[in-house]
Amino acid sequence: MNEYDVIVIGGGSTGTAVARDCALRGLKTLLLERDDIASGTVGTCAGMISSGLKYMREPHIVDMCSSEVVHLRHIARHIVMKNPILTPLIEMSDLSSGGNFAEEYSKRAAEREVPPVMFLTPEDALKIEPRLSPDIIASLYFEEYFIDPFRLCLLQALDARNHGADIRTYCEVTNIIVGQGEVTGVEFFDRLSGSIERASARIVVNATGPWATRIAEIAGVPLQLRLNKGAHVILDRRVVNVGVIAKAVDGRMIYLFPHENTVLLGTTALDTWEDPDNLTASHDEIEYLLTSMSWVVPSVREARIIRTMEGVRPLVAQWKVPEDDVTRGYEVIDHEKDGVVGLYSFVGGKLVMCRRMAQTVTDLICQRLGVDSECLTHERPLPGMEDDVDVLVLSRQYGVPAQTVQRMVARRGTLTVRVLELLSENPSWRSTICACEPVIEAELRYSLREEFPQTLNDLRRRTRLGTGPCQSTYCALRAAPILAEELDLSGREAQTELLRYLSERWKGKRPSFRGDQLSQEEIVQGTYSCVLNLDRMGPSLESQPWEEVE
Amino acid sequence: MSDEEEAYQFVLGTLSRERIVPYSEAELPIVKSVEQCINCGVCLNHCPLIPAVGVMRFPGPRGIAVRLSRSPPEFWTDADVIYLCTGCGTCREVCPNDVDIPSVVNMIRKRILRTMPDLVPLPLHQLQERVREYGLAFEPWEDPEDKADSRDMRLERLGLPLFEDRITDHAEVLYYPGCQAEERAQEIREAAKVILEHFRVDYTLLEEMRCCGLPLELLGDDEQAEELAGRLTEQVRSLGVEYVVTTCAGCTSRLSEIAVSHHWSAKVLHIVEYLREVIGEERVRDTLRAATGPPEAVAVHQPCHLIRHVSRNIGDDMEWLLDLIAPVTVKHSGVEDSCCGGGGLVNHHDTKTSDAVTRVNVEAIGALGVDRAVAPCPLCVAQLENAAFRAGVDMDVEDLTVLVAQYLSGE
Amino acid sequence: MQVESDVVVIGGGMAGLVAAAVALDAGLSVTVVTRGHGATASSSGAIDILGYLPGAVLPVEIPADGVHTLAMFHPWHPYTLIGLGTTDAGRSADASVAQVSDAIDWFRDRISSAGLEISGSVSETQWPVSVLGTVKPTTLLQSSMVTGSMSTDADATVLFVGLRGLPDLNPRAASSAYSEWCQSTGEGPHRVVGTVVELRSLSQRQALSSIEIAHHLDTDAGRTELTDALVPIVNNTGATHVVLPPVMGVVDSHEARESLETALGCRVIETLGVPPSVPGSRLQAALERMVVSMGGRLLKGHTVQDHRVTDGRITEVTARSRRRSVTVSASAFVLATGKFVGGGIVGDETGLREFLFGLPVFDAQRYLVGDERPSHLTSVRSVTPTGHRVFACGVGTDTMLRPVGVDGDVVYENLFCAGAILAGYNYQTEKSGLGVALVTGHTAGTYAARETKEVM
Repeated sequence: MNEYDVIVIGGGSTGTAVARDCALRGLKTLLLERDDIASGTVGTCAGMISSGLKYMREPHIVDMCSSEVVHLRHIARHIVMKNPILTPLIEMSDLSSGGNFAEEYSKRAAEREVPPVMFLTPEDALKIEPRLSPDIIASLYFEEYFIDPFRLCLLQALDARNHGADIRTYCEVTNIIVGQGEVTGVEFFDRLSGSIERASARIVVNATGPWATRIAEIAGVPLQLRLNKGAHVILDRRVVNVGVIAKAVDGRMIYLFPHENTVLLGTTALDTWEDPDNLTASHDEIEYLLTSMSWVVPSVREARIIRTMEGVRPLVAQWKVPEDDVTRGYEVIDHEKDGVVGLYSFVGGKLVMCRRMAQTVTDLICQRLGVDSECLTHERPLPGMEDDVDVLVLSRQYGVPAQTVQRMVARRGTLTVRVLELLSENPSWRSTICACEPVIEAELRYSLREEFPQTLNDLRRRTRLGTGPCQSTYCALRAAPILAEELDLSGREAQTELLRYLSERWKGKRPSFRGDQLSQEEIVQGTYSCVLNLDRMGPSLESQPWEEVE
Repeated sequence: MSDEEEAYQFVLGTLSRERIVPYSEAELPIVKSVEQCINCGVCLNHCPLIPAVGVMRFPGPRGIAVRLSRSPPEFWTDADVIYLCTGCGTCREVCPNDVDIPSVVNMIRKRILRTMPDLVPLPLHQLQERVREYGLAFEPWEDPEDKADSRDMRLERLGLPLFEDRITDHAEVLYYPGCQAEERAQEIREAAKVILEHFRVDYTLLEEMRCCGLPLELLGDDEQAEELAGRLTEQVRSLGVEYVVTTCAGCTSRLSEIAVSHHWSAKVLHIVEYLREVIGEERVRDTLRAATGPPEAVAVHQPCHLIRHVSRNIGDDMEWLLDLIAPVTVKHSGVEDSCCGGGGLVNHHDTKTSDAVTRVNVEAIGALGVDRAVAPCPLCVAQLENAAFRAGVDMDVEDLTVLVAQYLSGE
Repeated sequence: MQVESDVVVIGGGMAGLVAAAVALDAGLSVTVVTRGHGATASSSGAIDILGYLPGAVLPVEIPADGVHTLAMFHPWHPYTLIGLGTTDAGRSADASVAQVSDAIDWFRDRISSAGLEISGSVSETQWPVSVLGTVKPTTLLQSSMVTGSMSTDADATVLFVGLRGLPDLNPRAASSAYSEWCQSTGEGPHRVVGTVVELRSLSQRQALSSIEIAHHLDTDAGRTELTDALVPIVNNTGATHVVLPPVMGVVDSHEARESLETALGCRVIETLGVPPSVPGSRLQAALERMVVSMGGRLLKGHTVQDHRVTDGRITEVTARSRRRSVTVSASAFVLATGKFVGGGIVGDETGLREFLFGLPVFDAQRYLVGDERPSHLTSVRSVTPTGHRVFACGVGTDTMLRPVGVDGDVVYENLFCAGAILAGYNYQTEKSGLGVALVTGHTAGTYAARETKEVM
């Protein structure tokens, strides 16, 4: 049995941050994720590393958000980008309540290198964003930072691994072994090999987001979460020049953020008792978002919807208050109080806080293990951020179109060179596999060899393969054989993988299926059913959780 | 400066640092059309650039559509491909969803010119300067006498008469020769006059010919293009003409566009259309029936800016016109509607790529063994001629207007 | 501009161009108004008549029998309707088969004159192979795709060939999938291998598209280069069948195949195309050549924007190009604008509608579905043998292919519908797309011609 100091359960933003912190402090660490890195809640967020503007009622949280933005820009500048944001007002009452929020926000703006909140005339706002309604009477302006949430999690995991941690995906914890009131290890099911394994450690960190209550249950300790689901509608291409925030039909704030090659329209907030594995956006959620946003951006209804995504927020269990009033802070629960020493669970928190959350728990762990070690996660850069990269120089040097290099740099920073170096031995790996992004074969090969993806969906998280308007219509077909080659899959296994990936994409496309997606889907069906005959001769898939409900 | 003005200036600063050039109101329909792209790639199978230079160098129209999805901040990364597009519009024509790629190309070029002008090929900067200085895409002749000599030589070679320029302040038709026929291929300008005189058309020329603005649109200088459009609009209004007749494919499409955007009451027609629709099939038939001469076989080239940027019908009009001329037999190459490679300003900075596109035409026409190839566009004529010459293929290329004028005046 | 024509066809895919050619055959003048390329150009290049009966697990072995059974049990299927249009219910299944068969014979002949060799008949299902190494049942193939005995001959050695820089066909994945399939059926070749070769003169381009290679293989130099690279491998492996990606020439795959086979001394086969499909473009181009060479007027780049109706008959349509518009009057009209890719049917969250005339939309069982949210017409799983209901939706017609309204009455006496715009079949799971387009195009063209002559 393998021995560790710490076992982290959960490969989301918090879990990978904890693994990284522990590894950087010299603890022998194992991270277990039952699916892939960033496959849960963090994979359904907008990637905003919020300045905390929304949480002005909780000044300590605003302070924390602001300083964490500074840290993230310091350690991961290459995957952080800035979005200017307009908040157009149709009437004065659209101005968010709370009165002095602008002042509160502006106090901390300088450290993040953004301006204080400013007012723009309707004319100026319309020049910046002609899609705004001509009826606006004024607009607020401020700037926020966004991060690629998939890359953040992956880079944290890779950095942890570089510092000695073991990262195991597709390993589901089935038991937390407790002896005499103390954690001694975990038992887990390796879904890739089909075997059950054990690992020992005195510390287990439950960083499983909305699934935290399940892990607590396994360990026999009580844990409460207020699960709250949120939907995003993903629009094709960057149809707005800048971000737009608006008041929704029920007075909540919703947003339209340019994100990668899409625009995200989000989000809803509904208390949920559904299985977090089994969620899709509802028609009501889609309409809520479209109707609300169309008041300030009337054309949003004509925009092409590619798909939807639905995630679950693991909020702190405060009840009998509206969701908006629940603290956005986090808590680390030491289950010693429940009679299990060495088990810690996270509840609450936001993406922007993940590093801080990890620091808090790692401090506790070090204390318990008697290790005297400083936190370094806010100082050490994440892989790829060591230097600036000149896109045009790389493009010329390696004979790869500038845009392809630019996209790779936005994901990989200086590590782009490692991908491009593969081309000297394999010149034909310049082939574009996913045209939407674009992603070339070399990046897939590199990712498959260095970033432990097991499925096409995992490749998507690492490279943005298939995230464009066509949603893998063409690239899945070309990527599947590459995956099969690198992972040594049989023809049948590759087909299974292909069908599973198409089904996963379809899960998000189906709720908003309309408009141009009808013809897009006709091509998908024409290709995979009509031409490739996978509907008849392909392997039959095991049902995925979401497929159980019609 | 008020707080709000200051705020706006600050925002502009951020946008510029983040390289965001906001879409303007006028650009929104183009952006919208790209949303309809389903990546089917039909355009890739028809884009003339891909067989010419390969998908590695030029990712094709679908690649361009994808480019737009990274907008606004990453336009500049397209500088290595966006200047290779010849703007033929084949992609838009075969596209199941009418995605307006040619306009997307212009939009991206516009943004690169504005935000990172260093990435624009030098000859395009020079072209922009030329238009700014002379109002023409070609540097004018220094000595008017040299210009006249060149014209006379051409007319003599072609056996065309010279008519005095008509310049009046009111006419039914404005004949707009375009920069190339004005300064270089003067025989086309004169041939058009022969035709108009022959049919006793009440026409005028402009006192001073100015560029239609297409080259500026193609290099991304829409401000100067708009200036020229505004100026021409005033002239057309004050002349009170009913028709603006052109002999250049690019001018026809550009002026047709301006006519819509600037609400002209005058109709823009290529002279081929003018003959069929306004002079009338009967009159033209009666006149051309008399045309004589030794039999000749011609191959036709249909300019993209007519058939794909205006209407495929013009291809029919051309065939109709040639069919009327008894000595002429039209032979079909099968690639008459294939891009000549000269468009999109590619021939200004990358003749190799232009010629690679032209090759299809040169080879097919060369194999037909015709007496000459004709095209109703000075740009196509020059590109086909030059590319054939550079490829060592012996081929006579003539403007269709010239050919018609020859048969009319030979009568 | 105003022009006249006997017949106007709206839509320039398989259905529209076949209808146009049939009307031209009848000596009429025809104008085809076409906006862009639709599903035909994106097709595999094979013409499926019927691969599977709806709901059946096993493939159709004899397409004629399949059509017969279909016409007995699926009353709203286009194949069934056209049979009912010519005879009474008792004999209509035979009539359906006869019409399918006639359309195929007519087509093979016409398209061959336009330079595309098609092989196959209603009496036998063929099994072409895809870029993934899977196979599918179809009826008519471009001759370059015919696998012949490859799938049944145990002694055959099949060599899947990838071309360096072209990611469309991965020989390792394709050969293992094909080989696994052969093992599962217990038939077919025991030896399936894969290789990658390089086309030297294109190698400096590094990454390639299928269309570039197809252009290259249109030349002698290109073919020689490919065979030079393949000869040693064919000799070493003893390959009897070489399977190439779908790149065998832009215009003429027949000639390319013959020349490659002569040089290699074995069978050479190209796979089915996937978008962007070279064989699909090849088929589209041949169809256009067919219509133009027969004297048809092909108005490309034109979108129908308006139409005029007098006494329940359409009298003219107005089409716009980029900068001009043209009004075409005619005695009969064919509507062949396709489904979603073609743009014949559009949908938003409020439902589905026919794009040009606002005709009601029905599903395969002739239920009105125009007000259904499209997502309600789909299944939870992406790719399944039952497919998605939405792809069997379209315009409902009478047995003469004239569109009907919600009451079942014919809307326009002289409008005939063909191809994917028709309700009643899911071509993706049935494998019947271009077949229904061809057969209904043939039928609609016949009715349109008859209608015109009656008016004259």
